[in-house]
Amino acid sequence: MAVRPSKNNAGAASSQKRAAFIPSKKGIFFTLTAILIIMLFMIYAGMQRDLPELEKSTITRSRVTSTNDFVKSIEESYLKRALYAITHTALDAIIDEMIEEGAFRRNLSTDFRQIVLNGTVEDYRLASEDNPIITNTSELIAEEDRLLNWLNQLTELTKEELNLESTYAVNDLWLEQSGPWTAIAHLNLNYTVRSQDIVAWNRINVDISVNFSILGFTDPYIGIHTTTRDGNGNIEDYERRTINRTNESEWTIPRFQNMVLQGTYIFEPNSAPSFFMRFENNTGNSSCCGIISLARGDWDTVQGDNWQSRKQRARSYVDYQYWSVACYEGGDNGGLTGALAENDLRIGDLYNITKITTQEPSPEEWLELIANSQTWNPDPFYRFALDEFNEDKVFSTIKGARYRQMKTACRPDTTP
Amino acid sequence: MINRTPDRRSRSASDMSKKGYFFTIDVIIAMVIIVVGFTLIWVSFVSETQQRQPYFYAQDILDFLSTTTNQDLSVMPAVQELFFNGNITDLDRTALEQIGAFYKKRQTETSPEKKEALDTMILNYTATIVQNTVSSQYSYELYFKHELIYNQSGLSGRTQETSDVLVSAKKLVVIVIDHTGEENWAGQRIELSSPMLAEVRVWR
Repeated sequence: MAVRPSKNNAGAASSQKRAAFIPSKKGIFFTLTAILIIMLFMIYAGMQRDLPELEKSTITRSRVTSTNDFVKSIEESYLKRALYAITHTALDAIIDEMIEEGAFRRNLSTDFRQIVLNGTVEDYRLASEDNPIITNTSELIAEEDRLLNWLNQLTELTKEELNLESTYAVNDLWLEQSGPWTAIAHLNLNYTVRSQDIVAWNRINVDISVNFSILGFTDPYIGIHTTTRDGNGNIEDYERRTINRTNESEWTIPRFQNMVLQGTYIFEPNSAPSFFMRFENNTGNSSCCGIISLARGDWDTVQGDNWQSRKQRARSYVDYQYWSVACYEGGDNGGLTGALAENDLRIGDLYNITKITTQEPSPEEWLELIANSQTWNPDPFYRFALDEFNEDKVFSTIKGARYRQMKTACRPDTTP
Repeated sequence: MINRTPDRRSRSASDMSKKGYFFTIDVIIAMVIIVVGFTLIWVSFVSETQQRQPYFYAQDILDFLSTTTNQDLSVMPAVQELFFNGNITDLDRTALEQIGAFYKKRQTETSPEKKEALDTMILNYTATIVQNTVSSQYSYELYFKHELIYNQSGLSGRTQETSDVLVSAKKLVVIVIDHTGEENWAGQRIELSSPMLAEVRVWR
């Protein structure tokens, strides 16, 4: 006979089941705890990994870093190097052009800007000195050496290899002489660098400047004045004198001779023009940066005087005076013709410097040389004269070598 | 005092042994979960570190080469020798620029012997600077304008194609070359190079 469980019996069974379940629940306590611990650690580990992902870490950070690095390199490395090299190329090209054409520049900074950006310079070859007319535009440097072309190359490579969009706009370019032997090239530009939608730089009016030495550049002033040409106007010869300094201050006869023969320069702040002024045939004084070298006795003057006829028109052999002073009236006559001002340091007596010359040819030898149209290149050189200022102040320690004061050396200049 | 019948006593002992059995199993399962769980977490971190490491190595090599100058390296006999031989003329150049200068010179060189000498020079100079800077399990290569100029193989011996992870860092290099005083050239000549791409690849 089946016995139906009473309510009480049913309650007991349920209680037994519960009792059986409770111990088993207690039994997986460690498992549950372990699962809980692992889950907590996983959540923590996941958060650790999620944080950089929130910043799109690996990719974004590396893009930002590489873009920053690139922008830093643009200003500290790429543009400085480009400006340094292109400045040298441009100045060398201008100097060569000046000597080739036998013409000074009107404004070096304007020419510099034009040649650096476009590689061209305006040609004055048919223009008079007082009224220059642009007759031609010469391409002086190759396309790959021009700044704008170089910036285009940089832009393309940056896009292709670094996946960065960039643009450059040059605002200005100019030169400044910072000392007798140093100069600064300045570049002002705006540029942008963009890395897709991650980061963008927009730099406005950035000044890039590089210091460079003028040592090693050819002096265009001496190059132009010493050029000789054949009947067709082609250059036969010229003096390629490069700026090379001498640090002598205690002048002796041998040191003075060396300065003339080696064509070195000294800093002279009171009367001489700077290197950049020489591009413009400006023989004024640059107090920061004036430099002088000395003309050689066998060079012709701008009036065409050679060593044979030079006795007729005495002149100082300081380079910027040698060609700019047509007639130096020394002694009682009170100084140079057409003195620029009363305080012009070139006003004064003119002195022949001796003990640094070889013996003068005898009158017979002179006649023979002239008859044979020979050039006499004495070693080290013959007649050498200095104006009073340079003789007295600049090369004062060679006073013992003063030969004689020239009182009547100047004769009227009859050249048109 | 509880008075239990033998029957109840034996049932209670059986329950107790069952409980012990549960606890033991429970502990074992918990330990397994903990060990497996932590192992998985650790492995995932290690593998992520291993993926990030080459990135740092590649960037570090490139940063090192682009910030260290010949002046800094002048204590190294190999660099000193290159300086005294006249092959290194600018002590302010960074190592990356110096490699670029050698590379550019080699590009324009026509004599095969001189080309080979420049190859050796690049190899020795680069090796002197970067050799063993990266853990031996990683391989790395240095390229200039996509041309391999130096490589070092790691212990895994894997190539770039078979590697787990391959990372590349790139930088542009611009150099100025002074040709003043060189043969067949009167006066000064300063040359600006086109921007060149330098690339370091690191893999495991």
